[in-house]
Amino acid sequence: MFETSMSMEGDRSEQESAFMAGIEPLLPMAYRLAYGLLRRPEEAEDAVQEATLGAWRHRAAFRAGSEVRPWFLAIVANQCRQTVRTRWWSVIRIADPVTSWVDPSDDASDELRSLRSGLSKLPPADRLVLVLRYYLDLSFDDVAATLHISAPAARVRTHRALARLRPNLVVPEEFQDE
Amino acid sequence: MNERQFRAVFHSAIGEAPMPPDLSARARLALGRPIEDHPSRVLQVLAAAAAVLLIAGIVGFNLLSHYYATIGNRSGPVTHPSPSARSLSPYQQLVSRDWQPVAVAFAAAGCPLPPPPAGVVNPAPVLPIDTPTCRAQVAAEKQATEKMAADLRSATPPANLSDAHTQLQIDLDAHIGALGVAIQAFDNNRPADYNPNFANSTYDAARKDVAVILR
Repeated sequence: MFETSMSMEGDRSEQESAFMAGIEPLLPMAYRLAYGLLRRPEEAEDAVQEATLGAWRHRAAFRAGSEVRPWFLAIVANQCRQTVRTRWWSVIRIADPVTSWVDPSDDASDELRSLRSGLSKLPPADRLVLVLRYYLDLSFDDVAATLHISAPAARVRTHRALARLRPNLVVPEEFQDE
Repeated sequence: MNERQFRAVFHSAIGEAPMPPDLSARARLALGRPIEDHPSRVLQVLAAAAAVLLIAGIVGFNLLSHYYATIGNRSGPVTHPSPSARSLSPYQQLVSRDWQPVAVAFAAAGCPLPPPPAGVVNPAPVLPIDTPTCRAQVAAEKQATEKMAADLRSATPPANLSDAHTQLQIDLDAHIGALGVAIQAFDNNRPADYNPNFANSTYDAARKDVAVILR
């Protein structure tokens, strides 16, 4: 099914239909990832749309036999990074990552505010691994596949990201792959 | 806090945003955008920029070479030896040196040639020489070579030298042409256009003919 969706055979409309058939089930997760990274619904929408287009354009680079989900999530994550980093107005909205995470007007508990504050200060790579693991609820194997690293490396990276959060929050010491 | 509790807190911290129902349709629409539009437009812009740069480079190069030519003309007499002047001195001496035995050889065969013109046998001026002097030397050389060619044409060569004689005439004419080009360069105030290698090549050809005659 996945390999069929990346097929370059047939006319364009057939290829589009096959591609969307493979990608469409992943869109909710992709949007969730984008929202988890950007925290702005409109930006998350744009990121997913651009990522879909990017995946379509680069579908020839998809390796036959591998899974579409980590491949597509990696594209979405990359698109989110581009969104934050390269838009010209991101210079003007330099505080954007923080303001999108920390809203002084919300009535969340101290614990939540503290976690958001900690997440806003994390490097993008750390935030990505935590969102994949604790927001998308992926296993370490899936996190590893998305980040193109090994499962132990994914575990270590998650551990380090949590360690950086610790000044802000009590976070789990031990991991168990569920 | 265990991992399950942390995950719940994490979910709450980020919040939930339901996927817009039209996202799938928008993504599908996005695929309909012409794929080649963006790259081709980028390529067009790059090609246009490259063409502009190329034209600017050519124009700039021409302006620069024109500027340097003008500088050369404005600077008046050149105080350093130019390549043309440097190559001229041995060139002039060698012609006069080679011509003498040719005349002797022809005379011995009963076909006397006039002696080399005075301008050719004169010693070369001491370097450095300026552009007008260089032009004067080339002109004198051309005049002398023309006289040689005329003398050669008027003489009837011995049978065994007939071919070499004809060839020498041809090469001397070519050499006269090269010297004419050189003089034209000086007269057009473009001394840099004078190519001593060109003049020397025709001269070398004439020298080889001379060597054949003397063999």
